[in-house]
Amino acid sequence: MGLQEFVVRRIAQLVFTFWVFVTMLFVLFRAAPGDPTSMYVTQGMSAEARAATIRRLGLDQPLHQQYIDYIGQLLTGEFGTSFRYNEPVWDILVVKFWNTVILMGSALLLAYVLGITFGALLGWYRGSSFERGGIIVALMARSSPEFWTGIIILSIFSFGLGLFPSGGMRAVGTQPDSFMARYLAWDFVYHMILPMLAGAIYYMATPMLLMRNTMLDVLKADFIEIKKAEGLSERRILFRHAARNSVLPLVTIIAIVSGTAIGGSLIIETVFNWPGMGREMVESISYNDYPVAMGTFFLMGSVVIIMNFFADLAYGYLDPRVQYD
Amino acid sequence: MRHVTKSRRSVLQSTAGAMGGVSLALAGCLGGSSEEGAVEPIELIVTTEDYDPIRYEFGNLIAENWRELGFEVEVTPLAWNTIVSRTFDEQNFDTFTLNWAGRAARLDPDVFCYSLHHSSQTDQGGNNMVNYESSEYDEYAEAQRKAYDENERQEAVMQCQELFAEDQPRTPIANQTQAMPYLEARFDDIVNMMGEGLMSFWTAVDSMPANGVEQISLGYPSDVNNLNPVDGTASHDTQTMRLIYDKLVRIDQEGMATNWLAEDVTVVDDTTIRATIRDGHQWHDGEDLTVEDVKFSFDYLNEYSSLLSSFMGPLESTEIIDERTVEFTLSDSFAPFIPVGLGQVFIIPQHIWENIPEDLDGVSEPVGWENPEPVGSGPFEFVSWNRDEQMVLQANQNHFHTPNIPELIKIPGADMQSLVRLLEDESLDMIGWVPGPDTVNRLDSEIDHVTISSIDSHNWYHINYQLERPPFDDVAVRHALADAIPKQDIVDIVMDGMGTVTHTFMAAVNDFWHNPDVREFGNDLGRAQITLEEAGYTLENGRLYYPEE
Repeated sequence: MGLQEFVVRRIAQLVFTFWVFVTMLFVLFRAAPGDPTSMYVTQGMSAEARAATIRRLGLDQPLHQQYIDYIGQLLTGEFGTSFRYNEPVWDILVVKFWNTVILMGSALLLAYVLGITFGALLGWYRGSSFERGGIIVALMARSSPEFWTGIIILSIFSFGLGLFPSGGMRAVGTQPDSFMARYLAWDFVYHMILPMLAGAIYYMATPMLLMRNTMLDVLKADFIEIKKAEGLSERRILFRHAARNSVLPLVTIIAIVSGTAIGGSLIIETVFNWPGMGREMVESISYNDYPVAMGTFFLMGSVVIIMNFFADLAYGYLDPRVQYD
Repeated sequence: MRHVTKSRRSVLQSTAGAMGGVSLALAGCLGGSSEEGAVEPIELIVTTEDYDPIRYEFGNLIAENWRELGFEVEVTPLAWNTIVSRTFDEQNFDTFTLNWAGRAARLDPDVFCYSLHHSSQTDQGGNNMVNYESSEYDEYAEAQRKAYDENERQEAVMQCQELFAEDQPRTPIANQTQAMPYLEARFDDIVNMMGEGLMSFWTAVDSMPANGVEQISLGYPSDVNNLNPVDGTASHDTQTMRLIYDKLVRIDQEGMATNWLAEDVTVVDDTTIRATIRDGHQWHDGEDLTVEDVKFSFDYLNEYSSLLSSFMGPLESTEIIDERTVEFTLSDSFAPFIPVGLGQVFIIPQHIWENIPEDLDGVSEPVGWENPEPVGSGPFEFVSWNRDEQMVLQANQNHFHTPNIPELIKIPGADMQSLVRLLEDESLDMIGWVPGPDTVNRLDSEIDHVTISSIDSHNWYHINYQLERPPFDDVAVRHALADAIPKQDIVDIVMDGMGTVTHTFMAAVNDFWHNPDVREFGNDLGRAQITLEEAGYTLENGRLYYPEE
């Protein structure tokens, strides 16, 4: 089977995966107790007002009808309108999606750069106390809950030393007027440093340990011995040859981790009061705001599905030993 | 009481233990619940600990005492959504904990008197989900709706409370004291209001910032949903919109209706009320606010807003009498019309709303409109809003009641703790929500620049009983259950003293409507046991049995 056929088949699989995914979302949210008006009962919403709202949102329709409408909407690239915000879901999520992607993207980038570097060094200095210490640190970072790491970071850098703000995305009272002004301002970066650090610490362990393992395998390979015999410097062998060949498995991991990071950003977003998608996800679920909740999951799931798709393709491309079948 | 002194720690430990105890207790009597003549096991529904630690904790305390009486009690924590569908919608519960928050509109007794306890409100979805039906009670609840004379109305409200206490369809437990933190240095004077604390309308318009302070930021643990006055479902939205939109009447700090956009409100007769509006007031876009706008608002919102129309009661029509006067005609006398109707209905600009929804594609009804840049006539003007980041409002310098705060910035928090941190590092000036008792104590004692502003609320924590199910259909059982509730311990330990024991649905802080002489229950396990004995209930091996027929 050739590359072309492989790609076509993967695309077909992709479409099928998406269909199963959105159907599951629909079923899950409709099976959840309560309805979008539940939250407002004790705030004075009368039974008549609740019934009228349910009708207006089309939630009195039979389920299969709602499902057809929902799929139809998705096919035209519509996520519908939020029950709570009266705004198109897309408009709400696009800002928050970027807020989250930029925060978590930076955190992951930092985590991978540091993780890969340290992982390579751990593999290289196998058996040293540096390696043992490194593994312990990595495992601790991996198993400390994010909120705890976040609060520790806050208490040191924000409350202890007063170097950084304790939360939010920009100083109170400032208003950006464009996309660039939002994300390229120093104020924004300044607010992002601590949450980014908290995320990076948490996500660093995976690439670090994985890198170390593959390094150990690669270092056993013959070509490394040959390179040593050629008299190349240690550093050159480590980074040019060994590390480069060890990065491959990390490609797959990146795909999966990116997806979970978008969703897992919830805790960091809460601790640092960051207006991102993770928070919106949880809130819209508790308010039974189906369109928004499904939108957040859809975006998050899409990242995982699409990243995996590309990881497959990339892997096939990078590693000639992968068979297209 | 069994325990004379208890520490918070021992109570919380026993709460945790109680959860284990339940399963053991139930495990020991499988099949026993259908035992001949034994009282059925009771399920007590509480919120999850995250949602409201107070309800979660006192639910477990109460269950412990009920078990002492011989009831089998299972405590079930559920998500709020689930609680609503099981209790309000399906009425499928034995007992559950609930809190009616103290909002300005609820300082008027009608909501608590009528919509919670009148027999017409027992349908599914209604507020009388306990199915309390008493023709005598109904009479007084209707009378308070009809009496425009305050003293006459007060009398009826007192009677309602007396009957309610006697019948105990619900057991009130406590009113919360709202302790909200703020930065003292940023204010010369901060205004507080019962039931709303620092989220109140009067805090925003009458508080005096310190010299040179141009911006005041107010934190709240979530963001506004939308600023559409036709919607207003979420109270946080309403609390924000009332700064942007005016009403004819406002509820003042004492809880009484006071003229606002109306300079005069007259009850012509039982079904006719006239309001004269101020002269020369303008919308934020510079247009004149006219009597046509007022009539339009009532007509429009009565038609399109299910929430606001419910406040208008039996309003039949709104007519323009002259260029400053409107006349409201009711189909039936309705005393709450002034405080609740005129005090809740936003006045909206006709020149903007008359074209909605026709002008909008994709919006079927006005309630679904986003209203992206609200134009009102209120003391604050809308400037900008980035969802989950901040909303900026500025003082309307042309208003007849110009706020002292030049710019009010609303900051939504991810949760309470993130707001408290912002306050501690002085990025935030005040919080319009009550942090937990521990946080309040810590801020009060350890953080110098943070001050706590405390005020009692007219909210009420209580227990609901499903009167249609045995054993709750027996008033003696309800009296016993109520007596077994350790109200004082709940206030002292669970609420850390930030509350007041209550025996009625109109709080003591709402002085004019509060009845201090109702029959009191609670804190008396011994009396609860005697009540059950006298009603013929018997205990066998610690289990309660119905009276012999």
